[in-house]
Amino acid sequence: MTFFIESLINTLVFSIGVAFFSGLIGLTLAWSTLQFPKIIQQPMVQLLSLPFAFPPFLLAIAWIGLSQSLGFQVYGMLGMIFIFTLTAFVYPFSESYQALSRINKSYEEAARMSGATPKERFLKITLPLIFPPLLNGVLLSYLSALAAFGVPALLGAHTRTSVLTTLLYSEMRMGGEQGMKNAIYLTFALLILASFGFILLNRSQKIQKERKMILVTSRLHSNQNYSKEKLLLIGLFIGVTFWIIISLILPWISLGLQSGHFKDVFENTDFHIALMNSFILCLSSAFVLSIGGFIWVYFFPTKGQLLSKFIFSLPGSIVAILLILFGALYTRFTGLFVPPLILIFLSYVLKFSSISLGRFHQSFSQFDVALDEAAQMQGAYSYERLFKIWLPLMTSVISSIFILVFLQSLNELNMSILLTGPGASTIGTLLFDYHSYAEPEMATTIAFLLTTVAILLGLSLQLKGKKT
Amino acid sequence: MLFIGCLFIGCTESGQKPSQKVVIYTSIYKEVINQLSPSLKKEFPDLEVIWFQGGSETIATKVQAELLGGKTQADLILTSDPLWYFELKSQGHLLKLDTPQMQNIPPEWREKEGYFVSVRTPVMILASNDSSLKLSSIEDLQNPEFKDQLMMPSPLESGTAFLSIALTSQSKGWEYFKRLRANNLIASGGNSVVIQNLKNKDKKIGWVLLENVLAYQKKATGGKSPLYPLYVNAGVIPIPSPMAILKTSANVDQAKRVYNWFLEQTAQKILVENGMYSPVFKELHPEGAPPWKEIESKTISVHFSKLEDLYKERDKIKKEFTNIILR
Repeated sequence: MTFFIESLINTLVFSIGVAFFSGLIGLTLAWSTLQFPKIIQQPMVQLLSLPFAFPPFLLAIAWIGLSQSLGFQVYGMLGMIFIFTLTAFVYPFSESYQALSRINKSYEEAARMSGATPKERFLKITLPLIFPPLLNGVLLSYLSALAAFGVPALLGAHTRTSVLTTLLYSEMRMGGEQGMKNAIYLTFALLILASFGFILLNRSQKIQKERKMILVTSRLHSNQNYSKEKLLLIGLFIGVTFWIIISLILPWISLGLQSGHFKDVFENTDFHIALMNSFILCLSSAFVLSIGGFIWVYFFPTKGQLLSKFIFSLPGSIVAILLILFGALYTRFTGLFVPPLILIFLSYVLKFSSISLGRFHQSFSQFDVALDEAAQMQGAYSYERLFKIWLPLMTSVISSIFILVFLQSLNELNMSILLTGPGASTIGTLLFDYHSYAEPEMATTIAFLLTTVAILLGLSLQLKGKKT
Repeated sequence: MLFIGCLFIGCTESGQKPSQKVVIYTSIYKEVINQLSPSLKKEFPDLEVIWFQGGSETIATKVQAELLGGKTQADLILTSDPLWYFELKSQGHLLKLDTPQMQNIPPEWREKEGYFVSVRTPVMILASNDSSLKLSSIEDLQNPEFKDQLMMPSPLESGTAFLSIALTSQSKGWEYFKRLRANNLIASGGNSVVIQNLKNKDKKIGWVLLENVLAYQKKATGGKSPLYPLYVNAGVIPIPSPMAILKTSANVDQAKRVYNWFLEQTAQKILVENGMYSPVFKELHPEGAPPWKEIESKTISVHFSKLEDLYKERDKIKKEFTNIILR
């Protein structure tokens, strides 16, 4: 019990620590980025959003290599929080950036003319206005840290820092009936912690929706130049660039330098199989969630969102355990096996469904219902309205969701490790196997290739978003 | 929903119809599988062999999860934790066999009723990145000069690590591990993680598989930090790694053919070439390692009949080690 309490406390420290620092850094970077001219701003925003494409587990591998070369350690709680914040900050950053760039300038102008200092304007005007979206981003960081396994597993072992996800993993590894029972108890503990975050997130999103009119209806968008001092701008530029370097460029280079077995990797049959499986899984889940999500939200606009958000907030290990139990029940009643690739596919669809449903819901709501009603009155059937009116309007959203789900599926590790089976290795599980059991050099080569692809896909997503 | 439903129904497999297919769940390293596979294909061109590779404990978890549904997809299992095989035998999951090839295995490494045999003998040893280091026995690891310098694989991930700590706890007691904890012994990941830490000089001494050390020595070229195996008293632990056929196998006859092949010269030579000793051909030894006769006196004695009593303690051993070292 004592160790459970210790792991619970570590989990809270880790998740809340990541949420806090992600919020602080995300907000600071969002505000800083808005100080620059548009020509610098756009590339900076794109670069700052790219760490989202970098799997945290690979970031940990990259930083272990970097820290060994530079003569310090990243093991332990501080290292875990630091490494995870390097990707988790993107949530509060993008939410804050969107909100800050839509603030009505006249509020700040009025406060300035009334004699308010920059600090007072920020604390009493700006921060309350952007608080709901910032909280949204912070809660997403909290939930992603709660679900994390790779980073705590890699960085916590050397200092014996256990969190609930690693404790769950080790209880399953203990084997036997008691081990499985303990794993199920821990699943419930994680569910409770995730539920708190989910309830707050839901509430925050409702508030954000209610306040949307205040932020977006004004034509006087903030011009973002709060300060014209050159020195401050240079300092901010250095700060933002430094963060881009440590969260993206340095880890990518570190992986590249540790790689070198490209020929071995490309000639390896296991790599071909894993690549093929990953490609099929990522394409299938992206297809189902983009086209399927589009059709689902059109016909059932209010159904499924709450459930998908709840599943998103669950740690991947819980989703995997539930699917394992489902597979076992299926075998028991039918005598048939569910292929592991199908279970992995289902885990991706379940886990990332909220990305699809949330985005489509948001996109559909931006159009006037009169568009659909006019076509209906002209006699168009629902499938005609869907494909002749809505599909052309939503093409860029569909393709964005396709890339996003593809990327998330490609980076996924937690669920894949637990659900893999004969012939069902993915790039993530192959990488994990090489790193833990056989050939770490092959692992870093695959990691480098994976992150390069993820960064390129992330960049194309940014460019798509720009065009939308 | 319809799409997913059709995909589901179309893709589920019965696993019951006999076929020219054998599914092997194993903890043998991928590069060894890549050498075994072509020879197996040459011997049995009519047979499709599907490998699922992972750490011993990963395989055990996978099989346990599948057995929740009443059966597993594996026909043959080859991992490194004999205690798990005793558990499977007691639960009635293993097939009893009696083939001529099994008789070539020494009795101490053969389950007496024929449920499983040792097919290979990896060896756990101490290794160091310091050529000047001299140790006489594993008791020396308790010396304060080795504080923060010790590492081993986690027994929750590695079957070889698990058996090593199970046997050592029997011969030295848990107090020995408490003293190693005082020296900050770290147990994490698999054998290759230990090699990485030795290579990077994060740790000085590792408890690790001989085959990993020999593989690293083969790959290391001029300028890279070499590793040195240390054959110390009570520090050479043979891991008689079992092989068994599952009772729920849909391809028993095919599985038996492959089972016997593993105990014959072709397969045994490949295993020895990859850093393991052979339970069948004791005169063979891996390149770069001493003959078995030279190190036998430094080994902890391992006898399947003694392990049969130890298996009931399997969960307790893991828990005890976790409480002392991992937490």
